Amino acid sequence: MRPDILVIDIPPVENPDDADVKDMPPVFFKHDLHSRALEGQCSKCHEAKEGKIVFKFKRTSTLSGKAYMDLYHENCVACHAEMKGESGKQGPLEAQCRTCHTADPGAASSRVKIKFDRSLHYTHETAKAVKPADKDQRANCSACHHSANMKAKTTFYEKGKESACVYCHKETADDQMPENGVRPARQAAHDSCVVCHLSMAGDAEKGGPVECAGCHDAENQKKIKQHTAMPRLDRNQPDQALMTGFKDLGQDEAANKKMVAAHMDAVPFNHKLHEEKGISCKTCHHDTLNECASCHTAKGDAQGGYIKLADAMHNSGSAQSCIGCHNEIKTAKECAGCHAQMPEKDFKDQDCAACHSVDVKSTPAETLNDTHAKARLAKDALAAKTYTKVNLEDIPETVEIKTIAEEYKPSSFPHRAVVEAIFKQVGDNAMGKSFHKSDLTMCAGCHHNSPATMTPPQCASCHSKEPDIATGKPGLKGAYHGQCITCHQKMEVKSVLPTDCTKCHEKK
Amino acid sequence: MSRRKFLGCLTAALGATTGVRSIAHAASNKHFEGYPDSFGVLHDSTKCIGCRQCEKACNEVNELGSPEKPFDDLKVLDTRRRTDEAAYTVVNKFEPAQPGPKSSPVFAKIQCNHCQEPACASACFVKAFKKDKTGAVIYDESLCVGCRYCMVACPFNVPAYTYNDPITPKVTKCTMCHPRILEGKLPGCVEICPKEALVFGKRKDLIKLAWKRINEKPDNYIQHVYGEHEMGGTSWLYLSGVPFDQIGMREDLGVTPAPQLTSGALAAVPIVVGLWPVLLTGVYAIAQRKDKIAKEEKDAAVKEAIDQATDEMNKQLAQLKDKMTKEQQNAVANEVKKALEEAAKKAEAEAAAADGEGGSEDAPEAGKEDK
Repeated sequence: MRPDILVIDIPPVENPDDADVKDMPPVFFKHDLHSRALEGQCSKCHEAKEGKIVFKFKRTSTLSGKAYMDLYHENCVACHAEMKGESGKQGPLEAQCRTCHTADPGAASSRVKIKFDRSLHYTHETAKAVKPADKDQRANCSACHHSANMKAKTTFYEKGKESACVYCHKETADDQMPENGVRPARQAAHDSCVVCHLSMAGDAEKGGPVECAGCHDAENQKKIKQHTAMPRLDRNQPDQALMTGFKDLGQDEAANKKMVAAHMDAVPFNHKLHEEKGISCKTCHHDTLNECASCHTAKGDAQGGYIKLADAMHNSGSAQSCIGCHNEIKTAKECAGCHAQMPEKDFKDQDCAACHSVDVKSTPAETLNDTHAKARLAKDALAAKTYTKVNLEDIPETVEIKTIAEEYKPSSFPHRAVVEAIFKQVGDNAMGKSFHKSDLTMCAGCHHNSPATMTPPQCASCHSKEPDIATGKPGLKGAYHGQCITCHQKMEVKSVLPTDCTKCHEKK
Repeated sequence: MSRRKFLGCLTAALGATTGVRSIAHAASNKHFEGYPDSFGVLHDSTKCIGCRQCEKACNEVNELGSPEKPFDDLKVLDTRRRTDEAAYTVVNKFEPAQPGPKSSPVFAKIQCNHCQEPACASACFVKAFKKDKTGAVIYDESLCVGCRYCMVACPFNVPAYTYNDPITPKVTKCTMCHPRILEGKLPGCVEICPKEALVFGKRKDLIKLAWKRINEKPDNYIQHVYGEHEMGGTSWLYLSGVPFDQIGMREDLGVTPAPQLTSGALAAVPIVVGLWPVLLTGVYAIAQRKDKIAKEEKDAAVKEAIDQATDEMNKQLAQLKDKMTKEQQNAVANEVKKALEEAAKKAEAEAAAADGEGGSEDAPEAGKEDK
């Protein structure tokens, strides 16, 4: 299926007298087919306004009802008739209604959204052809990024205020201009991207795609160059930040004390690390690039969607919150082996100090009022984090699991090899390291519900032969198979299938 | 008489005949909550790996003979199966659409659910089925007459029939290993399950366990324990990570036990059979009477409608007439007024002309002056 199929349908009419124009099915228009036939002469169909092409057919404003219908009928058919004279091939003419008005489009358009990711951004950042709109600037950010003066209806470039397009250009319906007059995302993107690409059309080296399929075809998207190493986006963001939950402290010492006491210890946040992990700004800064507290107040109000600052950080159901996003990451196969088997922790059972680690009660007010000093504090706290490794030699190499062997021979479990494999997959993961703090935490993936130690108790010391229905504790068989098989399934260990019994224990 | 009407009347007649009984029925039939300490099995489909060991154990316990394909042949799972005379339980594989890129098959075991108030027992007129205090719905072959109403009645499509045995055919289904339970053993399938995807215990405890699992890992489970209330509750309970209808389980059963739905009608069967001619005559008479009443009602309604319409029309006509007369009067009045005004104007103009003539006498003089 093609990605370039546009549906031409008469917009809903307000006057019911015009309703009679709607008795034909919409037209499924193949845009790329037409632009190719016209050898890229956009002006054959599109008019220009202020030197820029308008992505509407033969008009610069919206039309509806019969006027809309007539515009298409007259212009399409006229052009098709004209093409007939020139070559043998041409589009349908008058009285060939059903050639265009096909009730069945065959299939829906295969158009896929294009993601303007960090890599594609970098391609544009470094492209010589993309020239800054503001000649004084060295970087070309101003070629695309702008701020707007909503009263004067003008746009201008503001250095250090660049944001994602969708913060202002909302992803609303295409033809509905929002009340504030800011173009919907799709329209803005075509107006900016396609117009710019067209201005360089034909330049194979510099020009971007101008056909629908160029950006919106899944196959073509795969051909887009993917950068792996690229510098951070520079927008004066901090490398590290100290999240305290309160704004600047005042002069009143007693009030300051009260304010600090009302808050948890501060969280040293590694902003740089999160960026390096390829998390886009929008993941956390979902609506603006301002700091979280600018919308999410301590008590929550309409501006922040009644979501309190604390909830914005801790809501486990939202991918925009710290805990929510971390939980989502834990569903990755490297993590899921252990984490998928753990019951969801109650909020009260969370380890607060894992994040809230900087004691602000003993920090002077002037430090807490100074962004740079706070950042330094955060940096030091992050640098002070330690990780304890265990000596592989100390890990038992094989473990005979024989307590319940009946139908099968005891299983000789390659304990150390499994531990090593787990360490290898999880070991260098920054998030894993930061929260696990020690290799022993990974031991607790299997040796759970007991203190982390190199000599954990045996499974049979807790699990009896039969499951305990009251506590939900599995029986020994369920415990072994539950952990081994579920972990293999979650970590996608293809070499040991869950139903392949003899892989682990020989038949008697 | 139309078919619909006939059936309608039949239901009405049945209702009437069972009315007498329903008094006793209501007094005796407090909702049956099941035997207080009855057992059940919880099947957690998120734990099931589709190894078919339960099928194997079931086969051995019930001595069902060697199967067509061995139990370690997992290709069998590619075809959807149901229980039959040679398999009291089967595991089916489903590939439900799951959110996210990863999608793994889900396995669901079927067997007799051992309803708290079994439809099969309710449909059986020789009481060959009995809900035992262990929770098992047990079948007494010696009482069975082979009518197979139980097979029709079962909402889960479970009972099968040994059609291949022409001399002593019987209904077959899972016994919940009733004999083994009496011996203090676990049901065969539960005992063998390597993943503890099957847990045997008191039904009330299993319900608690099921909800405990749901609450501990809410993202892993659909927030529903299948069998807790379905058809008034079943001894077998199920947990799933995907909607139950996606693993072949009916979600349209409701929570009313089958006997409550059918006992009245079924109890009426002997009466209906005995009083067939009387009933049919009655049905016919009722239909006739209904037709007659309907016709009368219809005629009356039509008449009323016509009357109403006529009234309405007359009213409208009167209004229209009124309006016309008023307009006519207005028009006449206007014309008169216009004529009067014109006459007045004419008179004024004449008067003005007369004045003008008088005035013009001075004009020549003025002209003279000019000259």
